[in-house]
Amino acid sequence: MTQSYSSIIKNHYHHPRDSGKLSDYTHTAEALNPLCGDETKVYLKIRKGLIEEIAHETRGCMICVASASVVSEYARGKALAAIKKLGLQDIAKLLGVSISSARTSCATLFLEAIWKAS
Amino acid sequence: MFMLEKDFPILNRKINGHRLVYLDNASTAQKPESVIKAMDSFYRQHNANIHRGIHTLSQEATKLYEDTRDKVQKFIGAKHREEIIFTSSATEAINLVVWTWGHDHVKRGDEILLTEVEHHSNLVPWQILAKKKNAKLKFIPVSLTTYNLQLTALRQLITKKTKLVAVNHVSNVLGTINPVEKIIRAAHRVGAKVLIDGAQAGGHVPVNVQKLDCDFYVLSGHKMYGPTGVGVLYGKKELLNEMPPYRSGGHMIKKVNLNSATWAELPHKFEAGTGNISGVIGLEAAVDFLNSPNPSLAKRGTPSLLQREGRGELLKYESNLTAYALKQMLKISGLKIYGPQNTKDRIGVISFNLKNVPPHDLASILDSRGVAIRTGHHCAMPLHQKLGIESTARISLAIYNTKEDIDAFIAGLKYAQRLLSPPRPPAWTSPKRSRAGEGEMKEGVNLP
Ligand SMILES: Cc1ncc(COP(=O)(O)O)c(C=O)c1O
Repeated sequence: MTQSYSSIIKNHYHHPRDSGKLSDYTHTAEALNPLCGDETKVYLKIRKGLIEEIAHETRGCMICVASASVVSEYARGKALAAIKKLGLQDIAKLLGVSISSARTSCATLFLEAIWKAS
Repeated sequence: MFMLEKDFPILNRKINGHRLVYLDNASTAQKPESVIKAMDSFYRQHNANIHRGIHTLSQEATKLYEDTRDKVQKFIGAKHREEIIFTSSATEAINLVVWTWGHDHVKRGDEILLTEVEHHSNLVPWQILAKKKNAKLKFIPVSLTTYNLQLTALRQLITKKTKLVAVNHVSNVLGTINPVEKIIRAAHRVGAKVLIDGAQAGGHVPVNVQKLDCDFYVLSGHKMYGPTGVGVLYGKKELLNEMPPYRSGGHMIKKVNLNSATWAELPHKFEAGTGNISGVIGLEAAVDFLNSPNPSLAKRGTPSLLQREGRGELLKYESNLTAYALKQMLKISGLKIYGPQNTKDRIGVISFNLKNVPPHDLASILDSRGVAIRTGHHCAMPLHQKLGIESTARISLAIYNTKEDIDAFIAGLKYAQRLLSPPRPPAWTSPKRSRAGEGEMKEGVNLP
């Protein structure tokens, strides 16, 4: 399967939402993808199981940066437990395209950081 | 017509509905029909273990296997056939030297000189050895303007403490052909030994180990149109003779008692166990192919010249194609090449980045059009750190590539640029922060 690109990916890659640091985070973690050099660091402010604030510093390919951007946007205000249950299919939905097997690790890197952080 | 598809059957493949344009030859080259046939016919007609039996098949298999040694000896100009050791890869060949010669000769406080442009294969094993031995690694720097090794630093870098210098012949990222002759001479002046990693040179630049006077030379079979799982270590006979075995077991022994054993003569001392017999036999066909390519490939050069110069003509073909690729790539705005922009002392391994289009996404778009390129750090992370980037895209050419292939690649680059470059500035105000719901993409997405 080849990887397709959506306007969502383009938009979120060139203008990533929630990009930057959080000063008052409660949880943070980094994840990297040695295969292509993607790097992401997530900052979470979690209260009573809810993600009150989320930000990330992400460097890498379009799929990786756009995934971090759409997931951050989606995760804010939601229960951490629910976000930790997200998988590849959910990211594909948020991005509006299916993810090819070669790019799975790029798409799920940000989720990996969230899992590590919490 | 060139009938390339007949010489290299995989070129018949359709990838995502497109003709395959394979530009990832530095990772591994495609195999000519003759290589595939040689391996197939070995299993169908001659399969037996080598050096063991007196039955006909074993004799045939041994002859085929040992014939390859003669061919490789000639191919790289070695003095003795037993100086050619078959390994499983270039990586294993380097590890062999590290853990035999290196382990015996590198002592506390000694220095091992590498370059900043090594493949991890010719870096990590030396790191492990240096750590174990409390030895020091030093690096010949690379210039960020010319992308050449800065040999002016050699005087300070090669000292009486230098035990070994290990350098790539051709960089798998920059495509540069390194001035290994000069490095070898400087190393020998202080009595250091030199290993040349020729994984990217084999099949792309002429190699003559006696002229180079290197102590060790390493080849990767699968990068020179041969099968995977076979590599070559060349070593000067006197060095190989004094080195201890690397792996031990069957075949590498002369006599075994319950508590001790003595070693077989070269090259068998370094070829323990049953090796990759079919792979070595495939490598012979690859060397034959490189020495006298098929008439159909020959047609692409000037036939008379090809008859006269054989392999040289194909190398010239590759060099001309590299010049064409560089010229077409440099016309693209926002494209930066990491490596020399002319064909002097470089081969058709060209790393680059395209503004606004990360390498991995470029590779995905090109793949959708049948064009195969490599992206990432190409097993040279320290070099990428020096270049100040995480990853690059890379094309690498082989003798079956054509101008049409380059054109398809260039068209793909332009398409990716159109498709993936930044959209108009978004409607929302703060680029740093946007709340859920404000983005234009939320509608219709409903996750469970
Ligand atoms: C310069 C260089 N050295 C060593 C290697 C490793 O070769 P092999 O795959 O045969 O272990 C490579 C392969 O990419 C290479 O490019």
